[in-house]
Amino acid sequence: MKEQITVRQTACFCAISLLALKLIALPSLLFEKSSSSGLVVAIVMFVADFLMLFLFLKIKQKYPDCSLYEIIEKFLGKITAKILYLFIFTFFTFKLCMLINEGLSYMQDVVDEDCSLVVFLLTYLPVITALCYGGLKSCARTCEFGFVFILIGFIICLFLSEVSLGFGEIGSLFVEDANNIINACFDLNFWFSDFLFVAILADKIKIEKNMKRKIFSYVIFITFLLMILYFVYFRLFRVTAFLHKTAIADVTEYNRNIGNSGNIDIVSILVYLFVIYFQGSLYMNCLKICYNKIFGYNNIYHFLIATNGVLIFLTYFVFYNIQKITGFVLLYFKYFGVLLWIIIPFIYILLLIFDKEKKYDKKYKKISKKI
Amino acid sequence: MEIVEKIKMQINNNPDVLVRDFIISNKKISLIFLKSTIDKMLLVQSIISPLIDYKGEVTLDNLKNKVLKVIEIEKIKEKDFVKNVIRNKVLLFVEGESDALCLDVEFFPTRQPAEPPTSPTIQGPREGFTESVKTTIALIRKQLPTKHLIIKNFFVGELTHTQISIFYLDNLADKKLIKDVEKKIKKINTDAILDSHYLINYLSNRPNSLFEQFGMTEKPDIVTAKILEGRVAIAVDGSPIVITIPFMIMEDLQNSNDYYTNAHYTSFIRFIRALGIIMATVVPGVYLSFRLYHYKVVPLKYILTINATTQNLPFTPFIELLFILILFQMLYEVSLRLPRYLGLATSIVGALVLGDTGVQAGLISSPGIIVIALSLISMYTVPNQAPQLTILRFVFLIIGGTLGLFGIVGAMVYFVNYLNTMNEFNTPNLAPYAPRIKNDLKDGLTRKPISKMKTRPKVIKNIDEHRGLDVDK
Repeated sequence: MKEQITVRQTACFCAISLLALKLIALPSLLFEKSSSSGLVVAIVMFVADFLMLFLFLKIKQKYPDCSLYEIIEKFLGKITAKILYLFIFTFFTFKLCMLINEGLSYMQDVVDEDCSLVVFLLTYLPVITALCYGGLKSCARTCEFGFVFILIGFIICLFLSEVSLGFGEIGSLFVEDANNIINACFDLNFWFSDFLFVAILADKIKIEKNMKRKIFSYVIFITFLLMILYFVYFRLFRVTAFLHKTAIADVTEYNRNIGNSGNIDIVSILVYLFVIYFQGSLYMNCLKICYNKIFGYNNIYHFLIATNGVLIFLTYFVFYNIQKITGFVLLYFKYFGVLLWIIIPFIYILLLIFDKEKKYDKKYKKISKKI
Repeated sequence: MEIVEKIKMQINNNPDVLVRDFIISNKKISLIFLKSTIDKMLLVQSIISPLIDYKGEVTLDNLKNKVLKVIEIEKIKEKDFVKNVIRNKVLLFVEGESDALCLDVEFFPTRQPAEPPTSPTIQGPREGFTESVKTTIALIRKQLPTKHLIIKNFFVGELTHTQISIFYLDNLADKKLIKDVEKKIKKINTDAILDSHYLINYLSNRPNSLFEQFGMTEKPDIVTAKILEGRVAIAVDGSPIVITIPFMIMEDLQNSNDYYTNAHYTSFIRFIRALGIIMATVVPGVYLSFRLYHYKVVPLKYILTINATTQNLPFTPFIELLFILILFQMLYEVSLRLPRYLGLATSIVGALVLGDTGVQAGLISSPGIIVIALSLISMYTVPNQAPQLTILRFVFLIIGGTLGLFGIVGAMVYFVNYLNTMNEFNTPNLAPYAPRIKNDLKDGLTRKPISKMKTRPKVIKNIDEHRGLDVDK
């Protein structure tokens, strides 16, 4: 039976994806690359992400039963589709490595300074492997179940931080010129581009009424909260922002003992830990799909052994700390952005404009009407 | 009579097999039955007396139609003789006829319906099922006097021939669900079904699972409410527990009392129960992980307090908590198994002597005892989940002691996912929250007034969604 996930579950995945790599290192990187204009970079990248998501959902409406692979295979051939998926497989593997490294760095800085990479991997990999083994449907349900707690926790963190600071000015946002802002966007695109999974899972998303509206309401709300976090972070740390590498924890820790609430950093710790587990399981599921498409067979055990092996190798021997992987990603992965931000959207736009085959569209409308 | 002797031999001539012969109108009549399982008064009044008084022609048909005052009476062939005797029926033979009459005057010692000890109510009905399936049927019939109530009987167990009855409303329950349940019951191949819990192992796709996958209750009002939602109920003779299918974990947070009190209070209490589950499971593990690894996140005042009480302990925090937990678990088992007065004595010894003296002697710490006691008390906010929560508490304690908070969060995610992979009878275990079903949230962690619940739960496939339907239409 085909595993299908609901629109709400997709929206939860989107929201969690937005949070995963943006709560820890990104704010300091934004400041490092373009000081106060980091907020502008974030806004530009969020808008670009939204456009990409909009494009993916539009294509989903036009071709409800096709994922990115089927679409590329149909128009550009099987080999091109497999090569593209190989790139995407690499992309998700690095995203997962980054998540592991950011998670470990966070654990060591905030939760347990003695936490080693081995203990981290021993805890993290079995859980995300189990979530992947259980299937996309149960994984999506788990994320849906946990999302409420994440959202409440995140709002508590932000609310208490903001209340303690009071509403003040951040200063000029445009301290850097446009060229620098574009360069920063180019360098940091790896930390964005979170909605690629929608194109990979497109054929597994159930068609429901108001799909775009539902997903965008979640995404915009979470983006709004993230912008509040960045705003608080920049206002709080100003010129020393680049030194604070664990944004969410630093913001909440700095503002402890607000309104007799005591330490609220435990809330941020729980929020972040849940987020990285859910996001890791989403990446694993995407990797599984890519693996199946590239190699053309569905043996889950082979996939899990291979992926865990690759992840252990990469994180233990190659990118054994956050600085290593951040340096590598900043140096090389910005070029990968070309594929993601230009080639895939370009193909999708062409399909939307020139592919006059309307039958998929009609089918979608028919189903939507029924619902 | 030769056939009677043959039957007696076939059932090993047990001492409770009784044969009673009469001569009526020059014809020999024999009764054979198990004297331990019949109502002797009824036997005399409705079978023996009418036979002795009868003066007419003696044939099986005449006796069946004109003489015997028994409600259930049936003419049976030779192949069914032994089977019916061992199923507590009285067989009546007439000289010269090859068939027999099978008469039902069965009687077992049973208790009266009383308030079940597992789910007492404050303001609701106090009836509970008994071990007799006939009582179960009667109590459900009383609550659901409709032609749509279907009761089907199955006999399972090569040696026990246990009666299993399934109940559903034919205008509500999903046909596929009924077919699935019947198929699974018919497939059971075993010597004995002694209780509902035996049956669960055969109905489940994952009998080895840690978590419950079936609703279980002793109360007719709960079973009726569930049947009215389109569920199927299963009663097993010999067990006061009735199984309901399909089941969601949310049902264990609900209690029959909830529907007989204020909706706001119910919602509040359900939150407390949910909190109870979390506390019962993770509190010892979290406390241990904070003490061992994450003291930075604990406010300084608490650290100082804990430190003052634990600094001279001879054991590591992990061994200390494990020791207290095992001790409490032993005391719990003892208090359950022993007679009440002895149980009380052991509780005093356990709580006062072991606990208090242990702290004074500096072997265990008071925060450790408080944490474990809190966890154990919280468990009984949801008593149906007590076995699972007990195991999970140990698991989380070990994880907290080895992998810290990161491990505890990971285990929580893993167990929630595990619950989500269990889709017994195609029903998501964590509904209405995962997947979120807006309509069913009316009776989820919060409850709306009953008058606002106009539709049945959508997660359970049923034929008619609206509660307002006239079931006799």
